[in-house]
Amino acid sequence: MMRKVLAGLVVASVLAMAAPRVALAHHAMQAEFDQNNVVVISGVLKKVNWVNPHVNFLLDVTEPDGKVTTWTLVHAGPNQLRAAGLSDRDFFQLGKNYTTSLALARNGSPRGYVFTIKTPDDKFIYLTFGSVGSDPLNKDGKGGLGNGHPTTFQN
Amino acid sequence: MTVPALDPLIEFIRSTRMSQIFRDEVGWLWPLCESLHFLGLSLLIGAAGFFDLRLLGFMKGVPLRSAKRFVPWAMVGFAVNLLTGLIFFISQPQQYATNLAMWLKVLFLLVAGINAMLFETSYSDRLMALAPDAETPVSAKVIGAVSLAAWFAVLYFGRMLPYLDPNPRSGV
Amino acid sequence: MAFFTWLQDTPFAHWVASDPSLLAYPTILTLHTVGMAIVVGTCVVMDLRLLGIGGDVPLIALVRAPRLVWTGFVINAATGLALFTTDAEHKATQKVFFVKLSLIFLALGVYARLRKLVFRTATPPAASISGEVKALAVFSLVLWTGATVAGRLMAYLL
Repeated sequence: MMRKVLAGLVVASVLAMAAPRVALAHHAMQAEFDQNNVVVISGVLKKVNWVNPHVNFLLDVTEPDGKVTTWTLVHAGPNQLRAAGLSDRDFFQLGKNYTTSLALARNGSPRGYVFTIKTPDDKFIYLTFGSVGSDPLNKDGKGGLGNGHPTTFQN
Repeated sequence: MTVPALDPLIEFIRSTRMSQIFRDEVGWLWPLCESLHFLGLSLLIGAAGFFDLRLLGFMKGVPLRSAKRFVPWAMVGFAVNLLTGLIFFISQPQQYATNLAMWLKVLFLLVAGINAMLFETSYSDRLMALAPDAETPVSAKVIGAVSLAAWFAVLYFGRMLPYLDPNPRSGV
Repeated sequence: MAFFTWLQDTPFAHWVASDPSLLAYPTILTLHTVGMAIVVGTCVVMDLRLLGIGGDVPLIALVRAPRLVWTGFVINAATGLALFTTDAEHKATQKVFFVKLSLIFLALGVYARLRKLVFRTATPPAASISGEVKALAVFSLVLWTGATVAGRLMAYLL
């Protein structure tokens, strides 16, 4: 379903100034999350908390044994995501299936710093720096907000 | 802000071994430096603030010479913050170099510094000679007010770093 | 727990957490830092003086300091409550947050005791700086340092 929001909606695609292999440019993230431990998970989007200091997405992931774990995926604050072009918080469809790549929390909790989001209609939102190879959902290091111009969806 | 002229500098700083170590190899560095930065600012504002309040005319009866003895402690706080600030900048230069809040913070740091130097070179001796009960002259009040305002402005723009000028390039 | 969930969903909590205005979360957070600088800064200056390492300022200078401490405390209680509402469910059970609050109240208790010991009179005599006072001054420095660090670690520990 093409929503009119697609025309105005821009993808947050934040590009680091540095060499592509650096994924976690956000200042405090390395302390909590391990950028060398990037995994991909899929689940049902339960909630979107569009809040300061960090926007977070709650994803219900079903384990192989049937147990459901709620994962918390964090990113920057609403101001920052807005500046990067992801201004429509209502874009995310609760109850639908999302796949994301994330840097795992160092303390082993079901938590991660989200890199790339694949939407139910197979569009990609690149939320962080083109980490070539280390992000399974973004092997080509896509992203492109280096010049401050928002990009549209990338397939 | 986007300041293309700064890109080469930012890239260079990030490419240094020191930057890489701070960023990738010392996980607890950032929280440690942030904690020290907050402690440093409390010491700085407490100690410098005390002297500034005296310059403004509060706590009459306290000799200015005595009040000034707190200023070295403000310098300790400042030194801690300068060091931790440099560590922040070296590890993530792109978060600060083109960030308007950082520029404004530096501006007010300069205001505070120049104000302090002006005091030291042109007014200090005269004021130290004042009787403890005497009213402080207007010049002293101005210097005290500018100092307090400047340090609080530094604090303000520092805390506003992630919010005032969110920049997709900076990742903040 | 249901109370905290409800609190998080109030329009006020939503405004603080999500409103795009700089006057919402960013300003509340910055004022919280201002209050901290005032409270901790004032107490640290007093502690340094009592320990004799902050110079020889007559103790009378510190007699009216409680006004500053109280002002800073009120600013931080108000902004702290506002910040709490944005994440009430989580913060209601966050260990490091309770450590922070405990350290703050302990530090304020130490401050009250120091005032009682030293600032009973309008012009406290130098002799009022006993061994107990010095020990309390050191303890105060440790407590405020701990509270500041605990506050910062709230962003990192679950």
